[in-house]
Amino acid sequence: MTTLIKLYGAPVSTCTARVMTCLHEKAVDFALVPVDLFSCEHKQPPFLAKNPFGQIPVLEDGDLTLFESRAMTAYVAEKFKEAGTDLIRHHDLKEAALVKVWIEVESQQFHPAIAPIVYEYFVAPIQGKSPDQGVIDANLEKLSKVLDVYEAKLSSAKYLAGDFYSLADLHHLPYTYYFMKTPCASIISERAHVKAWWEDISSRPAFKKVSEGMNFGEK
Amino acid sequence: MVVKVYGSVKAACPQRVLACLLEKGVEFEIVQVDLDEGEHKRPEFLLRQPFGQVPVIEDGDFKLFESRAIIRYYAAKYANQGPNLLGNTLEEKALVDQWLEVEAHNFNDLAFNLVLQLVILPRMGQRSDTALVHNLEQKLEAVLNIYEQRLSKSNYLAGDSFTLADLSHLPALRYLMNEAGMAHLVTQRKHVNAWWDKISSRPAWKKLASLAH
Repeated sequence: MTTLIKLYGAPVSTCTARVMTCLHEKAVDFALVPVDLFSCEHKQPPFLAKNPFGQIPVLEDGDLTLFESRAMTAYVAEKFKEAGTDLIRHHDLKEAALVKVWIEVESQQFHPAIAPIVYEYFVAPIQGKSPDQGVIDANLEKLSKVLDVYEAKLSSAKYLAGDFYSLADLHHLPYTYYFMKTPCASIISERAHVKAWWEDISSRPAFKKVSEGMNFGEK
Repeated sequence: MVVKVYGSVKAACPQRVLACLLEKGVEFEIVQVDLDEGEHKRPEFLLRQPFGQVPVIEDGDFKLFESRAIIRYYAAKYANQGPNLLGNTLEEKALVDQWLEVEAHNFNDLAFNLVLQLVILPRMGQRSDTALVHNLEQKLEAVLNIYEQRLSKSNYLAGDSFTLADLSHLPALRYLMNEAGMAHLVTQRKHVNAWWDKISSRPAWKKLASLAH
């Protein structure tokens, strides 16, 4: 008997969106259990028992409890590897390794530059602060250099790990979605191949379902 | 075919890869990249790694960068050789991934920035930021409290065996405990200390430490 996967998180949350997109790509049923960020539910003992780092999302599949969104997507992509979109190229060890390279690139190069920018525009205002232009400028510079590498890579292949959509591309979706609503979006749209790649991956049905709920900061 | 590892035996990210190769008994050759001279930022190197970082591996025609992708590849490629660094079942593998992500996102930035402030900047003749060091130390203490709790329930981070999740911590922890003078972060926590003793006395790590330091 298979149990229904439970995902604890919030539809507006980038990391929750990352996992939901993966679940949709694999056509896996799941239940989203809302966690109330504004009352700090994720920092309190019942939730801390699930994720001691006090962060969403958390995934429960029967007896297995996981935190860290990128571990969750890897698990879902592996468990349901024969269903839905092939996100991990499990039939070819070398293609699978290239997917892992670009998963790490998102994690180590892209994310650290884009996350602070998204934070300044979306989260800081909620805390009554104005966006810190110094932080934004410094990270835009880093992100631009990363995107130069992406532009070169995407001029020779349709997606990051090769000519196939993979988890490496998927992981970029949530933060980039919010980034495109900021005044800084031009650094994506002025790079022809990055722009085409973004338009392609963000129009996939699995992500469109998820992005409908990503209305953080909107009234 | 010997795996070529581009980097320096003293640098943390190449060490992550070398530790894995040593654990799995995979032969390698280190191709020195002179980081002090900025060799990794020059056009010839950027052809190998467009972000200008070490390590890079070349295994025949196959090339990879990003140390955590490289260790995942070799742990899978040589799954049947040496210790099992990935876990057996899907669930065990997921827990290894989870704690690898914790290392990457909750631990590494704090550890790296502490080593930068306490070891690298002084070496370059620059002043470190005392307030920042204090802030980083407090945050790392909070993270290690969570590790203490975890390691009171299992011998290693992902379960009862040594895996990539533990291995990934070795280089930064060694720097923190030695050159950065932050050994108390580990030694004051009973379970973290016992875990550190176990993982740092593995023959593969001891071999690497003797090559490097």
